[in-house]
Amino acid sequence: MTDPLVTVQNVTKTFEHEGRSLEVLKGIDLEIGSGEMVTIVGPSGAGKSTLLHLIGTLDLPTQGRILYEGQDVTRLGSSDLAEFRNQSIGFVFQFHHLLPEFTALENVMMPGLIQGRRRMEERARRLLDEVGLSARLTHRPGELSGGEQQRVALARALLMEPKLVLADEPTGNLDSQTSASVQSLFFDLNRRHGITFLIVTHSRDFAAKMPRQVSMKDGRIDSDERRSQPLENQGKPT
Amino acid sequence: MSRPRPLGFWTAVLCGFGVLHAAAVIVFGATSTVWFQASIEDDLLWVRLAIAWTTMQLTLALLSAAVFQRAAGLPRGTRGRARTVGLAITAALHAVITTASAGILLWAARVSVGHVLGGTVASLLFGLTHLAYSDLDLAWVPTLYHTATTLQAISAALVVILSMSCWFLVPPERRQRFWWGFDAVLVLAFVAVTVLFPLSPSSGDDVSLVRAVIRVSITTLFAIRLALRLVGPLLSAFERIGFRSMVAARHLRAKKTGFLAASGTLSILAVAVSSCMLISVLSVMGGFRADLKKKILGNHAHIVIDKAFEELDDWQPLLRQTRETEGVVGATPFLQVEVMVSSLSNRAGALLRGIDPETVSDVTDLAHNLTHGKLEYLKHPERILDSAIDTTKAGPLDAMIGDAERAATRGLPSEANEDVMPGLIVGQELARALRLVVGDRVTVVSPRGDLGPTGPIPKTRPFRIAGIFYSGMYEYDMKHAYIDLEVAQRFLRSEGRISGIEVKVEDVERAPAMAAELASTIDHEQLRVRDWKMMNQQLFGALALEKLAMFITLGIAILIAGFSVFGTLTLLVQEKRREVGILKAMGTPARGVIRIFVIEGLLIGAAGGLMGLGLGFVLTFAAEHFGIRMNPEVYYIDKLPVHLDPTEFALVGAATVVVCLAATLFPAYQASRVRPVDALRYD
Repeated sequence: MTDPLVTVQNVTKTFEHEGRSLEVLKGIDLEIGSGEMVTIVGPSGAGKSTLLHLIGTLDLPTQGRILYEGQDVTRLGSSDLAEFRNQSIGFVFQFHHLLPEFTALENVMMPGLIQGRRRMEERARRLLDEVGLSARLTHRPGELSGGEQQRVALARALLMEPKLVLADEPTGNLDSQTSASVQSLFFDLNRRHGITFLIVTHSRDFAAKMPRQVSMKDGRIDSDERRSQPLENQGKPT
Repeated sequence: MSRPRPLGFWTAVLCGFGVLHAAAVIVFGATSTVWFQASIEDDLLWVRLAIAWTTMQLTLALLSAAVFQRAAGLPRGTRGRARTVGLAITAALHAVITTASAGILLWAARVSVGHVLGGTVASLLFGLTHLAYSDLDLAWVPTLYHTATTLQAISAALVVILSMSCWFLVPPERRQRFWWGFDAVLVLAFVAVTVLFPLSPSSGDDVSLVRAVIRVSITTLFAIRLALRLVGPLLSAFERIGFRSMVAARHLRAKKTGFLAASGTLSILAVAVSSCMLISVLSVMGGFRADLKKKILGNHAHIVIDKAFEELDDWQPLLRQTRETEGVVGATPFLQVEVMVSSLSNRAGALLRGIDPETVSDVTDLAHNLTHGKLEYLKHPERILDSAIDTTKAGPLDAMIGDAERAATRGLPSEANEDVMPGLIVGQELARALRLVVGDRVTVVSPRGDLGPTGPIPKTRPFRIAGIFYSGMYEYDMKHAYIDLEVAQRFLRSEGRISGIEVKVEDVERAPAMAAELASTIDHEQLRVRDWKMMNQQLFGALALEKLAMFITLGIAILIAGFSVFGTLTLLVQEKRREVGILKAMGTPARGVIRIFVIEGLLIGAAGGLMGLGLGFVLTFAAEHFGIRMNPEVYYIDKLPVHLDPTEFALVGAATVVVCLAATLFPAYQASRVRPVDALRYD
């Protein structure tokens, strides 16, 4: 493991709901190294998604710090945060969350367009090619299948060449074959581009293949296992 | 996509034809009275009309039959079957009703002028031969006519509504092809009317008026279609500007969210209607103001130099000095006093003005406003008697005063008619009140008489009517009477004195400045120099206030349209919550989100504003050039005055944009507050 890309220090998160406060995260400490592939597993309500959102700066922790290459992102202003998200983090969600009014190509180009960069088309085409969708450039999300949409979302997450990609149940509503191909895409990208992945999943298969598995329970980290021998090379899942 | 669509071609044709037919019927119905009056004697025209009409009805009926046959053949429960069958039946009924009502119209028109022919068009049309005799009691004709037109309007509206709803059953490619055909015809028609027809009609010519109306209608239709065709390319061009405009344009383009599309259209329409209303009303009020100004300036001098309570002695040098001042076009002396004018039949108070007939035309439009008589009769009253007064020339006055009345007024002693008396010019309304024509004798009673043993005795003097003027302002036409200045000075015992000097300047709007300049150069004590704005301050002040009140009142209409934009945008924000969340997660800053929605609101506002201003322009242009006739007996003007002011158009446009901008701010701010976590968590 090299120097940490993300450092989570004693992070707690409390939600106020109808006057009662609900402590979702009860002091999380976590370090993720550059180029690692980490999965977060655990029962529903353990705080996995919340932690992912906090790391993705979509939400702010109630207490604690989140350092990104040594920089405390919890102290950034909202427009700096927006820029940070745009440049450094790619998101893949369970429901892929593509923009329905735009074609696949435009959806992939969107993070670049937000920055006002115009010469993104070449790269977007290459990424779509890489995820195997070069024939679907001008289709709208509504005209794509679930797996195709998820691959478009992955291509979009990679457009700005982020160091960290956060995925919240990326294979959650895909059938086993499609999810297998999406999973192998993750590993492939990690190997070839050295992108760090933090993936929340319920899938035991998927989790079992990951080199590092953080399991959560009741807002705390229950265990943090590293496998010396990643299982992903031991053949494709059925 | 497995929806059966056997209704394509004929339904499309019926829809298009039905709408055009309804429009034609409405236009024809609205103008029928004019038509009938204009061409009642032209038999050939009637035959042509009847042939065109019958062809149209037959086409509609046959089309309806064709569509009915196809639609009724569909299995029950097929989407759109009921609608299409409804359209076919309504269209057929519409054809029958319009035929009947047109027949009644034609027939009633012929009967009412006594042209009763067994073979009239009406009887040809629907066999009413046995009714076409003039000894019939015709009281039921208007009732029948009103019933028919009401039915006609209802069925026309139904046809339009059903056509619109059936239109979308037609496959898109067919619809597109239809529009290409329609647009091709429209372009040809546009080119044809532009080359052949005039834009503004020559006055009093019905044919050129109709042609101008046709040209303006087709040009408007062309502009609308052109604008609709341009929406797509414009939005595409707009998308290329940048990320925010791209997202905004895509949101507005999305047709999937039906309700949103409808509410967006409604917002655009609300903005359009309110701004159109505002600009039309402002133009009409501006027209009234311009009309009033023109009339006031035509009757009044731009600047008046006088003394508050006395008359001016030794005024010749002052007149000369005024005339030599730069920027002054003309100046003329006048003497005025309140008098009583009495004719044989009546008497009325009037403001008697002694004028210099040679120079008065330099300052006011009196000579131009004379409808009867001549200005020179003031200097040479003997010519009134010499000239054979042309009573056959039918002016408004002659029409009002019947021959019998005139004969009665003429019943003066014959020797009195022979006398040469000084001339007097009166306004049309005064002439009407006193029942006067040129050459009549009147007596003028002046308050400046001799002092008798019982007090002042008024001085009287006979005058002969030398002319009648029509200024367009009731007050002037009722109150003013003009005589020669020297006669007035003698009659009013003001030898060598005048009331003041009237001045006309080059630039009307600079009159106040000129007045100040004149006041400073004239070294005469107690003189006051007043310009037309100052003299009519109350009138123009009231007009300006009225206009402001109108602007505010109708501005509220725009504000309400702004609420509709607000509502649409709030809905849009609600609907796009998830997408806003995605955009923010991908790194769109809050101000970027705000801008996206502000752009959307502004696009809606701009579309509505442009539409409204365009429509307002067409309306005011039409009103200005074609003239909306008004009853001069009631309003004292014969057509609605309209004045197009580019500044006002810009102002209304700016107001619309500002209101729409204000309406977008809060929804846009709300959108920027959407937290990506909340928006993305649930689906």
